[in-house]
Amino acid sequence: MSSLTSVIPKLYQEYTTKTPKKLKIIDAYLLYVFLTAVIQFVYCCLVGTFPFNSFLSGFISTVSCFVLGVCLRLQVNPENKNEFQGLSAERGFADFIFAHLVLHIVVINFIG
Amino acid sequence: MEALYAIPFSVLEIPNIKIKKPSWLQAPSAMTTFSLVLVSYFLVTGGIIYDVIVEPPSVGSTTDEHGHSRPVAFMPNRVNGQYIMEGLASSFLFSLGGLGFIILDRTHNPSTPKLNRILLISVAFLCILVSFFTTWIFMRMKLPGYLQN
Amino acid sequence: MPAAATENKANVPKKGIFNNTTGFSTLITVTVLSLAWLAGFASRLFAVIRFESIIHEFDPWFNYRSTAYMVQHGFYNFLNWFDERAWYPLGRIVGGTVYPGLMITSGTIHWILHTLNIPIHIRDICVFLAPVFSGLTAIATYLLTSELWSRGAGLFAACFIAIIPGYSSRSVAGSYDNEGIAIFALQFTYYLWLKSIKSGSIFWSICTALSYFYMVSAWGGYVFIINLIPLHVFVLLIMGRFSQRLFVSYSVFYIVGLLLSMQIPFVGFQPIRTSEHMAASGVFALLMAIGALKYLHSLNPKGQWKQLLILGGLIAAVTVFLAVVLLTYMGIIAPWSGRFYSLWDTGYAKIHIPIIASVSEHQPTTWSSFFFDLHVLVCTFPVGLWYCIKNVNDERVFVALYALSAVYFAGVMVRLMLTLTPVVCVLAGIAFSILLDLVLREDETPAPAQDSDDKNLYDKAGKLKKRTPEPVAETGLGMNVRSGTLIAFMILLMLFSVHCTWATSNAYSSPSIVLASYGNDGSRKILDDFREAYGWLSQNTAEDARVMSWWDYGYQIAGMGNRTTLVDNNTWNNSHIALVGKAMASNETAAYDIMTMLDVDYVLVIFGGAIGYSGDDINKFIWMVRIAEGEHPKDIHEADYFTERGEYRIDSEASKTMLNSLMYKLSYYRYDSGGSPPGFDRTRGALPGLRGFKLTYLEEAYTTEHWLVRIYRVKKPDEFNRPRLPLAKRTIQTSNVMSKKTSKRRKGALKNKPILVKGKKVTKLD
Repeated sequence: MSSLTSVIPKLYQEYTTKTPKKLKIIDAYLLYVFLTAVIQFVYCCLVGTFPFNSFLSGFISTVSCFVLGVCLRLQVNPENKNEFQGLSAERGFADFIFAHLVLHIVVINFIG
Repeated sequence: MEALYAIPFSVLEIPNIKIKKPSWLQAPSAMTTFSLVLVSYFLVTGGIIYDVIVEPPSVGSTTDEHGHSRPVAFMPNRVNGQYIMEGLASSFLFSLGGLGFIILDRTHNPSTPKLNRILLISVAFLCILVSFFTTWIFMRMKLPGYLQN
Repeated sequence: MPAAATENKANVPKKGIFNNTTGFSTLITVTVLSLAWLAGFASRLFAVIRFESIIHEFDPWFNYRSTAYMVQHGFYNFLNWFDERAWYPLGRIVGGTVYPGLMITSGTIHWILHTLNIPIHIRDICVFLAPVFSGLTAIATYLLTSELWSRGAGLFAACFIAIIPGYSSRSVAGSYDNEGIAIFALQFTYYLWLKSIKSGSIFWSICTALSYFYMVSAWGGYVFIINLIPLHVFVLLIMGRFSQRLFVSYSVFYIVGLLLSMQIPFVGFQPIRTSEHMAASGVFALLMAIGALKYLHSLNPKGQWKQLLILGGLIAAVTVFLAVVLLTYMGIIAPWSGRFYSLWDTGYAKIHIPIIASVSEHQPTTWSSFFFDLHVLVCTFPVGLWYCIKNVNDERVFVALYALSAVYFAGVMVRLMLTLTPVVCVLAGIAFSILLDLVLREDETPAPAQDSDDKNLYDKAGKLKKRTPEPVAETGLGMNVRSGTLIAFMILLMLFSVHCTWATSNAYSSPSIVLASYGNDGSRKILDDFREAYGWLSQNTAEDARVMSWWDYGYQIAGMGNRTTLVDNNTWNNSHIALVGKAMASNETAAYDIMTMLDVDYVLVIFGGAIGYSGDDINKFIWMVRIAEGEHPKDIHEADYFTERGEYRIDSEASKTMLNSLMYKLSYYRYDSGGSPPGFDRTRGALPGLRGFKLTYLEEAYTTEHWLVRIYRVKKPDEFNRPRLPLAKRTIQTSNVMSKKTSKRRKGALKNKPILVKGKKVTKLD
């Protein structure tokens, strides 16, 4: 248990020192989206899932926002340059916008 | 902060990570994989699943005009029916043809001497041609009108 | 003509390999692809040329009917369409029980053409949709194969798929069915998936998801995609090939594809509720976890995160275990549906679901089907697989998995040859391209250097490159051997195209609505009995008449006769089908009970005895009995319909139950045709055992020219001579029976026919 308590602060320290500012902004967004998903989940547990498609579209849209955010983060991260050849940060962002466009059209259709 | 939202994910699916762990398990070599694949391919094209489900006899029989019963290897006139032996025979030919093509590719290995190479090529061609024409004959036996009209 | 075109094509790709300038190779590519399209289109027209521009078989009639409905009433009305003409008295919600992709596709084409002022009937679009899409499939296959190997291989694969019988069997002109467009969607989705895996771009994953959406809207076979792609990801993970590209492409594809697939009303919430889709979500969660761990690892590469992992693991194991137990207990995740289950446990359908086993295309495959549908490609398929396994990379793992699973499924069901065919074409294309490459490459000494550059743009394997610097003059093969090989390949390919043309023309181009028989002198006679009968139905019966037939003919009666049917090819309600089966299998009196209960006005049976048509109802009868026995084990016993020696026959040795069954009587009633002696059954090659009988409860309404379709009218209770009973006794019976009826079957009592019930019950009592 003592080792665990020592690991977490260390990770946190690494994170704050190594991560560029741009990525931190994305991380903040991710945290926000994640909390939204958690709130929705808690809500559905407490109140019930009655309009099931509405709940699903809300929940899945937050999950996919999270996923897309993570993907954007991966593509923007300069450490991953080799992994994503031919994909600039701008391209990544354009893709991100496109994906959101598709996603939200579908979500609006589904939410009923 | 990152650790905060990473924890739930490690929490969600850790059992799967245990699946990932046995890396002592050597990945099988290409050749082993392929021979396994070829064997299963041989069985499936031979209609082994058909044999299991429908349970046809291994060889059929008919009665000729004198009342003697004669064995018949092929179930005639039906594409969706077969006896066990005919299936195995023809899938053997399919695999033989496949092997022929592979041997043909092998001949281009630069280290092979010329004589071997010619031998290999002839073996390969023999395989391909035998498999192809025998299958054709099988098909003619099965569907008497095959490729006519 | 198609044969000539194919030969032509077979020669072109070979040339393409040798052209150095990109402009020229593009020209060749375009030419070959358009030729492939043309040949594919042309070879599918045999049915139209021989017969006419007509919709084929069974399911296409329903698709056509609903397309016509959609074009007439608009898309939203189509989605809300409640079809009271099917499954009487239940009806069918068509909009919610259909994959609408096919109708929307042809509706869109119809709309575009009409906007351009090209007045074309929707039927012609429906007839020619599948051949046109076969060209698109060829292009998608080309793209897929180029992504996997090289453009030369892609051209080969495109040519193969354009004419291969395994695919053209489902896409000849007139067979207007889901599979026609679904194979295109399948190939295109796989192409986009490989593209997104390679590039790791969100854009391509979204495209994959959109294409997947089209596939979901078109065919139930989308389950194949949603299991194969996760399998690919999973295998890559096991092989230690995790990359962030994989993470991006799969997670985006999965989550967007999940959302998109739930937009189809028929699919609904299945993607999160049924076991078929659970593999995808499991892999998604796994990928997420691995991504997170990798990230943590990259933050602190030294270690120390192990404790965290172990602690998390303990908690997670407990949580997941509890969740699984809870979900299974609450029944939230449905178990596998019968159709999918029968793919794994191959004996399952035979024992438990006769309705699936009764369809001939659900039978397991024999060797001759493999050869018939694939011809020489059945040999080259393992060769292509061998190359892919030998020079493995992320994409080739995918195609290997695709090949293996498709081979297995094709072995289980003849119908799934359709999913095997594209991958066979891809792999055979690869094999032929490499082998021809070997033979031809060393021919021209100046070519290799540039040539390999050209190729290696698309080919990462590097295997071919290694070979090029090899000193040609010393170890190269003799000119003779090489040209011999070449000629042999050409002959093989030529035989392949001859076979394809033959198979398509002879085996797969019959509309099965219109039959053709050939006389000894080669003259051709068209038997148009089906349309004759359906035409009679639509002209001579009441608008709301209800026609009972075996389910095979439900769609046709609805589509051509425009009458209400009891059961049809959408076999969603097994007990209803079993009821019809029971009516057919019972004796006349018992059948009349059922028929009055179901409000049947006409009974339609198909009888092939006069012309030797083997797909008639007597031959299908044993399945009716089996299905009926499944639901009514007390009344129907399969063994009763066989002779004592366990044979299924209709002559004088046949069992008594068989001879008295409604199906038997309706088939052989008044039958005196079929050659000598009159009344001889040419399909079974026997003289019917019971002849010259009379029908009590039905009367013959119509029989077509060749006795193929026979229609009977069910008599109203006051029409047949029922035994007299004292009036008092009758009335008492009435009230009793009626109350029973209304309390038990509200649906049956809808049409309030207590008189019917009374009459029948009395006779039965007597």
